[in-house]
Amino acid sequence: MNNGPLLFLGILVTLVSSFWGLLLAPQLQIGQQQPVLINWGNLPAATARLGAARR
Amino acid sequence: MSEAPSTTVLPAATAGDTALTSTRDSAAEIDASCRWPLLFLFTSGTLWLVLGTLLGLLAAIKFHAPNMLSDYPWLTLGRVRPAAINAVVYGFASQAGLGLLIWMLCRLGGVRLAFQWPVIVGWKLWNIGVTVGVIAILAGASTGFELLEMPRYASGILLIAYLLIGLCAVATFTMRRQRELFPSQWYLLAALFWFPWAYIIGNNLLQLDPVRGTLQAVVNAWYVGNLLGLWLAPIGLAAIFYFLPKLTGRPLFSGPLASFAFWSFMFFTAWSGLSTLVGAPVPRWMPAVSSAATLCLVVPLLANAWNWYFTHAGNPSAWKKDVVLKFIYAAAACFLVHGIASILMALPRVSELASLTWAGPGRHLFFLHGFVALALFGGIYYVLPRVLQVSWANQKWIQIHLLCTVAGAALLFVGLVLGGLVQGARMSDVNVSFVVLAKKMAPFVGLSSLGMLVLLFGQGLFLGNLALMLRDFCRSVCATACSMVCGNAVTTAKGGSR
Repeated sequence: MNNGPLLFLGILVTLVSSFWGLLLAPQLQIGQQQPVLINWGNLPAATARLGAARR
Repeated sequence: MSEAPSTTVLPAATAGDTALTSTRDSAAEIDASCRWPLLFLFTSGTLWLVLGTLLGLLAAIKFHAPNMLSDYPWLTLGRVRPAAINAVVYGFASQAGLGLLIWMLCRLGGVRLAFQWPVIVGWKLWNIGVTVGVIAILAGASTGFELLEMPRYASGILLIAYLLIGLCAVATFTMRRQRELFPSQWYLLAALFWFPWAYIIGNNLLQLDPVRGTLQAVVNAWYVGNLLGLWLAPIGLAAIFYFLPKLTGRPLFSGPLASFAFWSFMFFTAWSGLSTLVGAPVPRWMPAVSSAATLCLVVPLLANAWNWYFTHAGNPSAWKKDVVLKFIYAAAACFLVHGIASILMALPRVSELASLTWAGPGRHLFFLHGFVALALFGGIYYVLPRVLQVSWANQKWIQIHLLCTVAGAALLFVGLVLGGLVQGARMSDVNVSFVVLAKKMAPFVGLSSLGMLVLLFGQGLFLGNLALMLRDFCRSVCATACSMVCGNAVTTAKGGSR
């Protein structure tokens, strides 16, 4: 394995495959989801923080 | 039978060095070209390591004594712990790793360092970036993303610094005189390209243009896996593949096996980052794919173990005389232990047990202070005497440092990784309350604190030895300068008297 450009190409392919498989695919699946307001009884979920946590 | 000279003592020029000067730059020329950049990178890296371990010890003690220094917001656990790990990863491991990477590329390529000044400027910027980042974390400006806690202004400085150093390393690689590539160079080249890629992607998707919601956890897990597995691990592996054949005096057992191990390691590690997300609110295929990739890492692990063992078998007694080889063997052993632990923890049952326990952070600490640090220490102990032309001042301290590092890493592993599994088993028992669980975990956390203390002691000796070496180096530089000045004065005086 003495070919520098081939080595670089192999590293690039590994790098791109990881990016597409583990970052781009999840982004396409769940990255574009919009927040949905769910009403549990009269309270929207999730409720806003109260007291010190809100401050 | 005469004993082989220690690799930590300044060596005499060998016949091989002069024989190669016709085609390659001589070893002395290469070492001289790397002198100042390596001196700066290794010295500041060591200082960051000691600071990081000190902060790590403080964080560990806070689990026994939560009230200690709790009145100072700067020193609360949530700030001290990320500051400690960032100081070790970016201050020490990345910095010393870059130094060793540059030196190995020069030596293996038979060429002098291409550009010295950009590396020194990069070193300065890198330290400014780490300093700003660690201070920002301690001041409460952490981003909250694991291993990307530094704010964006510090990350930007680090990236510019890396590009300066990395481009010099790539230029040195392309100008190499020795066209044949060795396994160490494969790993170094991969690391050189992988770090900026992962760092830019991680910072961009988490800080500059953040992705939404749970996807942030996915990007962060991917980044952590890549930073440890494809930036720091390849540098450690490159050191093992470089020093093992060199110091045993035997050729590597099998080149094709090393090639197979390299590609399988790169591919499976690149896909293994999300295995820590088992149980997280993400689609199940994501951790499942990464867990499968982690299990497949058994292939390169066995291939490397096989290759190293049979290389060692060619000269099985070499390690007894050579402390650098002991460091390298210990690093190889830690790599194998960490690999086995990672594979076991990727199994679904174990993964569920170990999630949200000490096992995950413990595995990272063992990786850093065991495998990566031992490989870097071995390299530094070998390289600095050659580069500075000064021997290490105290040989006994080197042995104690080795013992402390191995013992400290072992204590961290037992205390946090094995303790984490026990913690997970007890957490799954609904009859055990949180307070009881915390009390029962105290001995394991105590072991990890002891491990950090032992590590710190060894690193203190390393820092002391380095300081003595720098003193000797300064003396030799001053003596050389004085002799040159006096020589010129005598020549001038003689010329004047005529």
